Formats: sequence, structure tokens, C-alpha cells
Amino acid sequence: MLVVHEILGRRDEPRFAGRRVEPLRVDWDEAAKRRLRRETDSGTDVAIALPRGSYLSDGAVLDDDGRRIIVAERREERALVVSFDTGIPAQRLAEQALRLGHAFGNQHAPVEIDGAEVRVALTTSEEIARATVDGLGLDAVRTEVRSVALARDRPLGAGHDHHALAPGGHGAAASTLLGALQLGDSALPIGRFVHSHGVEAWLSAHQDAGEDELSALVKSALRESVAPLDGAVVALSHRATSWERLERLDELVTAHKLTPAARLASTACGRRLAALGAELTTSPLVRRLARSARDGSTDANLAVVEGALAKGLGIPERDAVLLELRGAAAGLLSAAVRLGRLSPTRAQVILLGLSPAIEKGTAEALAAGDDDLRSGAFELEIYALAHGREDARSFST
Amino acid sequence: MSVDHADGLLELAFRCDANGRTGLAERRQRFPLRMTSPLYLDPADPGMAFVYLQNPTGGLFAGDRLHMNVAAAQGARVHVTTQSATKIYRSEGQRASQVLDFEVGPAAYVEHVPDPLIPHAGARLSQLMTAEVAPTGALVAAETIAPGRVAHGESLAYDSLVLHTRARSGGRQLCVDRLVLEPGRRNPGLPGVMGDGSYLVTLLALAPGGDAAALARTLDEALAGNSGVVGAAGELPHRSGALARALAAGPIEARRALATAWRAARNALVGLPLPPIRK
Repeated sequence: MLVVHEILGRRDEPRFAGRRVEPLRVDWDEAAKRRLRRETDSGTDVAIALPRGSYLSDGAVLDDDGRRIIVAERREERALVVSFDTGIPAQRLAEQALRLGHAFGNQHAPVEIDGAEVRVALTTSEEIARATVDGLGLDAVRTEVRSVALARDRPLGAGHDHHALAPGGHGAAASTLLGALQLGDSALPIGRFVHSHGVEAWLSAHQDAGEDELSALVKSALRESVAPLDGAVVALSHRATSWERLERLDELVTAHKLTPAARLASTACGRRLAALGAELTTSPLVRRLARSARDGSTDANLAVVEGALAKGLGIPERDAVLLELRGAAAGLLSAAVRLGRLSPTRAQVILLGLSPAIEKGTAEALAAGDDDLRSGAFELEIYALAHGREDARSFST
Repeated sequence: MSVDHADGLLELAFRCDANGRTGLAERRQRFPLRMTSPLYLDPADPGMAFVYLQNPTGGLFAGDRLHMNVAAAQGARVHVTTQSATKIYRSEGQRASQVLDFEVGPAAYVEHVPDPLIPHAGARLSQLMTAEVAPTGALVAAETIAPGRVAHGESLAYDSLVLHTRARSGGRQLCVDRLVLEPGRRNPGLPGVMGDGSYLVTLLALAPGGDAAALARTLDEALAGNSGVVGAAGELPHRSGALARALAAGPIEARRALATAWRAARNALVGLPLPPIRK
């Protein structure tokens, strides 16, 4: 094992000329470490123990035996590169740069600033990083994802932690939690509870069904329909940064809602939430949804409105999907309670027991793209279709 | 039996002549997809062409890529079916894939009523069906999914079925039905999914310019109260037609549910009874 206690210099210095180079890979997030154990590309076992304040730059010479040098090398990795057009007036440039800096700072994203270029290490998906920039509406930047060696000579302007209880945090945590609670509140006046999504007709055909069957029924709905369609659309709408995209998503949801009951529940609740949302947030997308829902030019499906409104209220994407799934599960159980087939206490017990299913569904929803949307709770779908036949009904659908 | 994977192709264009008889105007085909010459089997509509798809390899193998395109020009009437059930064989790696495209012109009427898909243990299939239906045209597209080779004791032993159906009319997206069945990962035999049913029957009746409410009502009334079948129907988005969905206890009930829905759709769309075809 070769132990390195100091950095000897840089590979491009004349004294190292003619030496064979043996690279040691050091990624950007390791370069500030004082202790690191790693093999070179040729298999030499290297233990690094450096003094405080050392930095493993790209090209740092770690060992020299007279014939070969061991050199720290940064691997190229995918980064979002945002370049500013420096030809615009200084005031506009400053404004746009500050907005970009604020957005990535808020995300604690590690960034590297090099002249008029900002390189952002991709710690989230490419889409999310791009959406961050797109959402700012900057007109003096060009954005691309390319492979670059990050933090070659100095650490990235990296993330910082906010300890949950420490003062001086973002201060947003409490208000987004309150916003989420409000969006998930059964008192939210959007008429969600007049729809049973096939549960009423299913219960009347399954008179013997008990708690276990009901729990399985709600789990099926979450797994086969709510998560892979509505949940996924909440996430996609949360990510949408343009009206055109939101409109396209709305049309896609309508096309996937194959039963009249599903469309009615989705658009009746969605329109009411859009109207309410316009009072709760200044988000231009939510306001536009409310306007076009009112004049009938958009269906305003619930999942689309939920995604856009959650974004407007600062509720993170994952929380918005969890809210949708939990809300749907609570709604189905509540239908069984109001039909006298389940006690309110047991409904709460079942709901909490569905947490793993809600989390699993959320993970699937977050990973879905437009072409992954699906719906396949066939038996519930059939009973939702048959609901219209029932003579005595409590629920609208 | 072992074969290399196949890139099958069947492109069929139908036209209606001045006498109201629908004929095959163009045909391109590549192994293993083949078809019979058009037959004229319906005394109630003697001009309607009936074609039977044939696949001499007996089913879909891993890596197979089959593409069928059926275009029906103005006024053409075509019924497309299979000779027997489509078996989907076990796959260790690649999925089998099947693309079905239907283009239904003005006043044209197309029926696609195949025998069931029978996914063997370990089978993996992706199917994409697209439909472009003129406002005055109509398409009846059915699908029956069996749980497996029930007689061999195989049920829900397949790996993955992805059936993606998309319909458009005049540049507008009408509906999307995307089913993903992966019994090993997500048991479909739960309340709310397949319930007590083992066969899934879907019938899409697309008629963008028709009376969707009446069509849906006719289908729904026909499906209500069949023993061994839980089924219902409703209007599709944009009043573009009706969706009928049924869960059937076994193959006989599935066949009856399909015939019931098909009969109702045919009667509502073209005012004819079921043709006396045999399999």
C-alpha cells in the first residue's frame, strides 16, 4: 500500500515531464476528503491522508518514483450546464442570474460557477434539474446536459443542511406542511365524497364482504388505478412548466378515464379544486386552469389540478402524490363507512395499514412517464359502469 | 419446437366496389403472418369481407415482432378474426411484440374479433393497437385474455402482458386503454381487479359520429344478468363510442360474454345480427 501524505504538485509542471501517468479516479464529491483509500487504474493500492485544507484537484500529483507519477483525475459525469448570454443589459443579466442562483440554492444543489456558465451536478433526475431552470422563465440562458469533469480545482458551491429544529432554516417547512394538510383535508369543498368509484355497487353485489375484503379492494384500487394513473399524473403535472404541457396532460387523463363515472368524478372535483386553487395561490398555471375550467375549454381533471396546485403551494412532488393516494384511499373507505359496512374506527385502522401500499404506489407513480399511465382495476371499473343501473343509490357515481 | 424470432407483416387495404362488395385492394405479407382470401359469409351483408389470420408457427414466440395493418376505405365492411386462439410461448428474455393498426375510413365498418390470447407460463407480450376512425366510420375491437393453459393446470403463470390500445379520430385523441398484467408481481386475483373472474373480455365499439349513449346502453343491457359473467358498458370519452368490459368464470362464459357484446354492438352500429361464422 502506498501512503500519500502530501500533494507533490501538478502534472503539467516541467519536473514531471516524460513520466508515465498512472491515474487515480477521484469524483467531485470526494475531492475535499482528507482520507481516501483507492486503487489506481493499474491496480496500485493508494491510501491518502492529507493535511487539513488539502484539495484533490484534477491533475494533482500524489506520488513520483522517477518514472511514473500517480495523478488524481476527475471522471466526467452528467451535469446540467446553464450558459448565460452575457450580451444582454447588466440589470437583466443580474436579475436572471440571481433567480437561477436562488432556485438551485433552495434545492441545495452543488453548483460550479465558471464565468458565464453554471454547472449543476445531477443529484436528481435530468428532467427535474431541467424543469427547475425551465420553470424560471429565463430568456437569457441556454441549457444543456453534458459530460463534464466537475470541481477540477476547487470544491463545488455545495449544499448546506437545515436542521429541522434549528432556527434560520428555510421557514417553508411549516407552511408547506399546512398547505399539504389543507389539500388533504376532507373538509376541502370539492365534492370528493359524493363519488364511490364503484364501491357502492361492488358492496351491494358482495353482501358478505368484510373488513379484509374491503382492505384488499382499496389496495387493488390504489395499485391498479389510482397510483398508475392519477398519482402519476399528479407528479407529471407538478413537473409541468408550461400551460401547453398541462393541457396535453389533461387531455391524456380524459382519454384514460374510460368510464363516465371516472370522468365525472375527476372533472367535477377537478374544476372545483381549480376554482378554489385560484384563491389559494398566485400560480399562473393554477389560475389559467381555473379560468379554462370555468369557460369549459379544459376538462380540468382532478390529478392535473392537484399537481399544479401542490406546486403552487410549495408542496414537494412526492408529498403531492402521497396526498392523492391517501385521499383516494380515504374516500373509498369513507364510502363503505357511510353505507354502514365499516365502522369509522376500523376505517382509520385500515387506512393506516395501507401506508406501505400508498408508499409503493407513490414510488411507481413518480417513475411513470406519459406512456406508462395505466388503469386496470377491472372489477371496480365494471361495478362503476353498472352503478347507473342501481335503483336506490346513495352516491352520484 | 424452436424457431428464430420472426418479423411478420400483414398489410391489408380493403375497398368497396360499386356493387357494395368489399374486396382486398392491396396485400403485403411476410412470414409468419398470413391470411385467407376474403370470404363472404354473411347472408345479411353479402358484400362484407371476412378474413382469417393464420400463423403457421402456432403462436407468438419470444422476440417475435408482428405487425398487422388493416385499412378500410370508404364504405368498406371487413371482419378480421383468427383461426384459433393465439398462444404466447414462454420467453426467457425478449418479449414478443405485436402491433395492430386499424384505419377505418368514412362510412366504413371494421370488426376485429380474435380468439383468446393464451399466455403460457413465463410468456411476455407487448401489444400496441392503434385505431384511426373517421367520424362516420365504426370499429369494433375485441380482446379476450385467458389466464393461461388451464387444462394443463397453468393459471396466471405468465410473466407479463402489456396491452396498449389508442384510438384517434380526425387528429383528436379519443381514448387510451393500457392494461399491464404481471401476475408474479401483482396478483390480479384480488377483489376489485379480477374478483372471481378468470377471463377478461374487452370490447371497444368506436363510432365517433354515432349515438354513443344509445350504443353504451344497448351493450350494458345485453351484458347485465349473464350467469358466470360480471360485465357492464359505458360511454367512452368524447362520446366516441362505448367500452364493454366483462370478467368471466371460464372459457365458455367468456365466449358467451364476447358474443353478447359483439351482437349488441353490431346491432346498434349496422343493424345486423351476428353472422353465421364457425370456428
